Amino acid sequence: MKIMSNLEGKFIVIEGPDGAGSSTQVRKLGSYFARRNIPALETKEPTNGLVGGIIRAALNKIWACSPYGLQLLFCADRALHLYHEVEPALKAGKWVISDRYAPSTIVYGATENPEIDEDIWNRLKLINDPFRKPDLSLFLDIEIRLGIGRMDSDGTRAMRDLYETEERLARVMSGYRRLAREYLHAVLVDANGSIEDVHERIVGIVNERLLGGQNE
Amino acid sequence: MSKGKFIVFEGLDGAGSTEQAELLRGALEERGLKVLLTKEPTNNVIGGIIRGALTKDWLLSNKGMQLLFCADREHHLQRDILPSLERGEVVICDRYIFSTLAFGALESDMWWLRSLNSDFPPPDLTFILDVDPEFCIQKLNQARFSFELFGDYERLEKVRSNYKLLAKEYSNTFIIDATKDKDSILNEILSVVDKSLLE
Repeated sequence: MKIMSNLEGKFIVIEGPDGAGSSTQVRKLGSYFARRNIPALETKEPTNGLVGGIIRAALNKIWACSPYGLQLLFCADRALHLYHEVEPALKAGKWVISDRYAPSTIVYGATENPEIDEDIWNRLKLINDPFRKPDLSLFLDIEIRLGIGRMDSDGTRAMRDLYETEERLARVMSGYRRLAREYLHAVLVDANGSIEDVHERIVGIVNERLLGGQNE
Repeated sequence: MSKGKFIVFEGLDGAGSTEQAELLRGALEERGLKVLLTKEPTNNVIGGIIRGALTKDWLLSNKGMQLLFCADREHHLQRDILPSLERGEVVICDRYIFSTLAFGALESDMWWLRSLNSDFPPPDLTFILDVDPEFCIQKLNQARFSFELFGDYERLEKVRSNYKLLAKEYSNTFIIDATKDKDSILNEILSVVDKSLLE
């Protein structure tokens, strides 16, 4: 059992496109830490605070918010998240596992169009720069198959919507792969296969990088 | 006049920017111009939660606050300012980017603050109402119930000098001595505005 004394906890982030299973993996990792007697806080972004609420309302089109406005709100929510939850937990010696963090803002923000917008990519990295860097970021990497292929003009509306969603997902995934090359603390995790398989891979990486290779 | 005129007022709380913005609107409307008078933080969604934070109804860090000011600014531009300018109107805005830079720099890096605002359109004219912080503190204690977040003399003096640095760095930015009477101030402002409207 590790003795925590005055040491800060470690900050772990789990990221990935919608449907990759980040929420599930956060819970499983939390349970793993509980079994190892490592006090841990499971959390997520956007938060359930004031700004998180405004963000959800914007995403649900309750009020009109531009893409850049939304990105700024995600960052403001992040500042709040750190201030109210993450920093206090880490200082108290707890480990923190967050479902989404700065990478979500950067990747989703810069991949609205078919080509990654370099200005937005760089600006969002800059805006998030003052925020605490995670000790470890795990990017869930899933294979996106564009099953429908090139859309014919007589394809149905439902098929077109599905293709656009898959296309967007593919762009997001390639955004994460690029960011993993740019951030030292980020690792791509093969997220194909069962929930247990992915969890085992994550535990392996956490043990190797943060727990001095001690398995249990 | 092509696509509207964007005029911004800045300064410490209590320096008189709100009053001068209103007087300028009156003067321009007398000249037959269509004017939108507006301010930041706005009275819209994000402006509301900013005010709650300023009166300490809920707490957040300085960075969080600056990010909210900029999110409010983006919404303000998209919803009100840019459409008004497109219609060829004069927009008078009480507080804009310089407020974030001058106040925000007390606790955050200037380069970071600039990066948040880098894509926002610069005003055509900026008037900074300059006054000793002592003047503001006295005026505000009389008029308001609780002094808003950006409090004491030393901090305000730093903000005042930040404004002066910004005036040196950006063109079309004018420092106005706000201790003069309000009509003299308005006349000084009008002479600059009238000249600009002819361009």
